[in-house]
Amino acid sequence: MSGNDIDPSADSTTTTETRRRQLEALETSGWGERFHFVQPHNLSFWVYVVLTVIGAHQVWAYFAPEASFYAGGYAVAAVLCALCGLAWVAWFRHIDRWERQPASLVVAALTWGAVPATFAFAMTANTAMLSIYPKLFGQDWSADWSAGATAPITEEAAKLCGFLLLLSLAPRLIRTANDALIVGAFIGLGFGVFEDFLYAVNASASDFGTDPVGNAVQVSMTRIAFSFVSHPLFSALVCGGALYLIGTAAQPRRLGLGSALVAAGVFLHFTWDDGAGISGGNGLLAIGVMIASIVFGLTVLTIAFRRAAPREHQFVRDVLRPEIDQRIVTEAEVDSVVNKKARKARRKAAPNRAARRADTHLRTAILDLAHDIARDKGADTNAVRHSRAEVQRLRTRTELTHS
Amino acid sequence: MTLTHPARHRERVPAEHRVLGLDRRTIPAALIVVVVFVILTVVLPRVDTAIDWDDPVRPGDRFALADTIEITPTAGWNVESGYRVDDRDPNQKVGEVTVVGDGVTVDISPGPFDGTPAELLDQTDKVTTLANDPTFRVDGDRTTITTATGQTGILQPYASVLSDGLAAAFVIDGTGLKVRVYGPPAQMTASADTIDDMLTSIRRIDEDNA
Repeated sequence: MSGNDIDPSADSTTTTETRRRQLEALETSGWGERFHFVQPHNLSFWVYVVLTVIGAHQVWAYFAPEASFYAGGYAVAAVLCALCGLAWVAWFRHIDRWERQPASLVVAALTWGAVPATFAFAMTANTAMLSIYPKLFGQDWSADWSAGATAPITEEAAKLCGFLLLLSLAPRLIRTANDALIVGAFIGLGFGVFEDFLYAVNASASDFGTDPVGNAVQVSMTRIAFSFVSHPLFSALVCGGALYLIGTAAQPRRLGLGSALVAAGVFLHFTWDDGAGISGGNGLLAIGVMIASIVFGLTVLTIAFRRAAPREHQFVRDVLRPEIDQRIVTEAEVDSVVNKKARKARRKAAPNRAARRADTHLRTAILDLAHDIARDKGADTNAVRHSRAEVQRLRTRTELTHS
Repeated sequence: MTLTHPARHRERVPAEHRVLGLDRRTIPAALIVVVVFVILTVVLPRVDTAIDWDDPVRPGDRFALADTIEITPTAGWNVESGYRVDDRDPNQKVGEVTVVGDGVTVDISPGPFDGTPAELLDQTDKVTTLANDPTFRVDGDRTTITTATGQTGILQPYASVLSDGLAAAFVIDGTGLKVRVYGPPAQMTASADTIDDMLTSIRRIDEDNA
C-alpha cells in the first residue's frame, strides 16, 4: 500500500466477476508484492548470508595482496566492467516490463552472482576440476576440453543455487517463467561482470606485469564485447527451465520444456567455453562456433520469453479488466500493450512519428496503471487515480496526434 | 509442487511448520544449496588431492614454451603442465611448463618481453616481492647461464617463507622466460646437475635445426 486513502465505493462500479478475476490474478501472480530480504525464520536467508560472507572473504583474499601493486589495472578494469554491468542492468530492467522485480531482489540476484557464485563456489570448484582433468586425460585433452567440461557444471550449479535461495526467499515474486528468466539473467549478469573483472585484473599480471593498465583495458574490452551472450543468457535459460521443472502456483510444471531450457543453457555454456576444442584449433572455425552459439542462444531465449509471455499477458488483462469495464482503458488499448500484432497494426496506422511516440507513452501509462493497481491490491487509491488520470491525459494527446 | 510457501516477513510461522523457530518449508531449498556447496568446494578438491600426477617425461620428449622455443626436461620427472612438441600438429599448443621430480619443481613461464634477461629478472623479482610474496628476497650473486645452443640467461638464488630456490630469466626473440626452481635444500643440491641440464636444454627451434 502506498498509504493513500481508499474509496470503499469503488467496487460498486465493477462487476463482482471481474473484480474476483482481478484479485485472483493479483494473488496468483504475486504482482505488487514487496521483497523482504531479512527473513530470520527462513533457512535460505541464513544460507545466503553465510555463503556471501564466505565469498566476500575469498574476494578479499584473492584481490587484496596484489591490489596496491596493480592499482591502475584494477581501477580501469573496475570502471569498465561496472559501466558495462550498469548498461546491462538498464537493459534487463527495460525488458522486465510486465511486473518489474523489486530493486532489492535484483540487488540480491546480482550480489549472489558476483560474490558467492563466483568466489565461494566456482573459483574453488573450477581450480579442483581443472587440476583433475590433466591428471586423468593429459595436458592436450585438458587444453581443448577442460573449460567446457568444468564451467557449465560448476558455474551453472552455483548460479542455480542462488536462484533456489531467492525462490525460497521470494516465492510470491518469482512465480512465472518470465520472472525466472529475468532473475536468472540478473544472477548471470552479476557473475559475468565479476568474472570479466577477474580476467581483467589477472591480465594486469601478464607479460610479467610490464603493462598492467594496457592489458587490463584490452581484456576488459574483449570480455565486455561478448558478455551479452554469455552468463546472463546461460543462467536465464537454466533458471527459466528450473522454474518449469519445479512448478509454482502461477506456472504449471512442464518437465519437457524445463529440461530442454536447462540443457540448452548448459550446452551453450559448453560450446562457448570449448570453441577451440570443437573447432580442432582452427581459428576461423572457432569464430564460426561462437557465432552459431550466439544465434542459437538468442533464438532459444526468444522462444523462452515468447512461451512465458501469455501467462503475463493474461495477468495484465485480468488486472485491468475492471478498468475496461469502467471505460478507463479500452480493450483495444490493452490489446496493444500485450499483443505484438495489435501494437504493430497501431504503429502502422499512426500518421507520423509524434503519433507513434504518443502511442508508446500511452501504453507505458496503461502498464503503470496495472502496476499501481497491483501494488495497492486493487484499491482505489490516490496513486491509482493518478495513473488513471495519466492514461486519460496521454490518450487525449494520442488522439490529437492521430487527428 | 511448489518449492516453498514460507510465512511472509515478520509473520509468525504456523505452528505445524515451525521447527527451532525456522519455517520447515524453507529447509529443502537451503539444504540442496548446502549440499551442492559441499560437493563443489570440499569433495572436489579432496578428489583432486587424492589423484596423483602420473605423466612422466619420456626420453626424447620436448615441450613447447613458445612457437620457436622448446625445452627437454629430465626423463622420469612428472609433467604438471606443458605441451609436448608434436611436429605433425599444425596447431601445436605452447605455454608454461611445470615439471616435478626428486622433490624439486621447475616452472617456466613464457611471455612477450623486449628487454634484456637482467631486466626481466629485475621485473619478475619486483613483481614477486611486491605483488605475490612479500617474504621473497633475492639472496646471492647473479650468474650467467648459457644454454647448449648459446642462449644466455641470468640465474640468481632466492629465499622466501614459501620456498627457497633459484630464479632465472632468458629473453629469446622477444619472448621472455621466467624460471623458478624450488624445493628442499638437500634435494636442490642433489638435483643441481639435473636442473642445470634442463635449463641449458632451452633452445630456439630454428637454431636447433640449423
